[in-house]
Amino acid sequence: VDFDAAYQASFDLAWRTLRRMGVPQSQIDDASQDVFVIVHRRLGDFEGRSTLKTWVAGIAIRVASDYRRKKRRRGMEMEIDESIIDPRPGPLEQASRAEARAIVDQILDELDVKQREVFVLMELEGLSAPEVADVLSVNLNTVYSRLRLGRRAFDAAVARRVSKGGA
Amino acid sequence: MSELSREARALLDLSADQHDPTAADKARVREALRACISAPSPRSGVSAHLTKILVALMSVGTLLVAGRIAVRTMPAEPPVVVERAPGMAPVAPREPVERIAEGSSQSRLEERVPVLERKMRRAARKPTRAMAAAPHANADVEESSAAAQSPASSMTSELGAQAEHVVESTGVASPAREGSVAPSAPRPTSCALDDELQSLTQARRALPKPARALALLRAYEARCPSGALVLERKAIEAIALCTSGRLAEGRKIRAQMEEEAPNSPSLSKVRSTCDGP
Repeated sequence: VDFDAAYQASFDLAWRTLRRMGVPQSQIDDASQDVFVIVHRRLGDFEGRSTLKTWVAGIAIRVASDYRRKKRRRGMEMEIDESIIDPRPGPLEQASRAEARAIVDQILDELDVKQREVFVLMELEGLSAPEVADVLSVNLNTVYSRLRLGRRAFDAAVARRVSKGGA
Repeated sequence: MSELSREARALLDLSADQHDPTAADKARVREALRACISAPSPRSGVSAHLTKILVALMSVGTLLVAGRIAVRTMPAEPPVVVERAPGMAPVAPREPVERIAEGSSQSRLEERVPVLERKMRRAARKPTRAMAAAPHANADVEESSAAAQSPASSMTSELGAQAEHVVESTGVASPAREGSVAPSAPRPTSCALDDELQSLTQARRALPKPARALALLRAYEARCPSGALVLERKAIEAIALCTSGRLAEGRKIRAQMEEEAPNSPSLSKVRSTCDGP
């Protein structure tokens, strides 16, 4: 696999994964660049034991984790436009697609990070449980357990918003 | 296994394509990568090995020997240099190791070695620009052993090596801050996004004291007159003005924002502050 082909095939996945794992819009270019600098450097060692998709997803998960850590270290909160957005959701039926994304982002931020990783990769990226086990290097039962907990937490957060919106 | 509720599924479906990059995003990052990956070879086993030797030798206090090895072997292969692309973050100018060897007398090299040693120690203590470009360089210290089994985990040591390699290649950890080493280091002409973000975060946190928030915003505006986060600055400024009772000024900024970016998510907060709930 040459770098350009890998970039074309996996850029969208890397970008979405970074966004859904909490990398703010203002840093998404840098984070994507970091992912593909790593892909570039490691491509020679990529032996095809995992698919390109799971390999890049794993790198994106790690890069996102580092961005979160950096953010914590600097004491930075959410980027400005996200932090001063009106947190009150409107009724979901009326939510625009952008509002839906903002709500999903807020809820993902509330999830435990490990559950979030599994939830993002399976529910949003459509990876299978064995693929996610490969990406995260955890066993299959752990993947299913985190998915179950992640779904439960996501559902509860949606229910809270629905009840607030309807109140 | 329980499935997601109907509402949750509908929400996910509605937002399904909202995290997708645009073609422009893809092209922009590709262009930035072109600028930041300057060597075609994905990996140099020799340089990685050399880096490990350097680090090991430094740990037993024999950096002088390590410096000699570096000078002797580095010119044999082009280093892979990772820099930030323009506009992403200021990049420290490079000073190739070859330049250290240019003076080439042994005494000159030995004069440089304590400087190099200090810089490498400093680099080991705190994240450098190079490490910022390769965030995993310090990740492996903090990650659990489980993470070490990850398919992506091998990149941590790789990036550690990469960051060290950049330090090697530059000969300095952060020349921009080391006037004596790189007196002609270019100063960034515009503020880095991180700096802007931090300034605005400070101003936003100061909102309970609007005068303080406004002072911070003035300082930010003076420092970053062509900052990228103009709308965010205006939003915070309007909120600070309105909460301090300067409603006319705050509303004037709100009106500007409504004209310039009527869909800005910041507007709702500005409106609720300046116009009441």
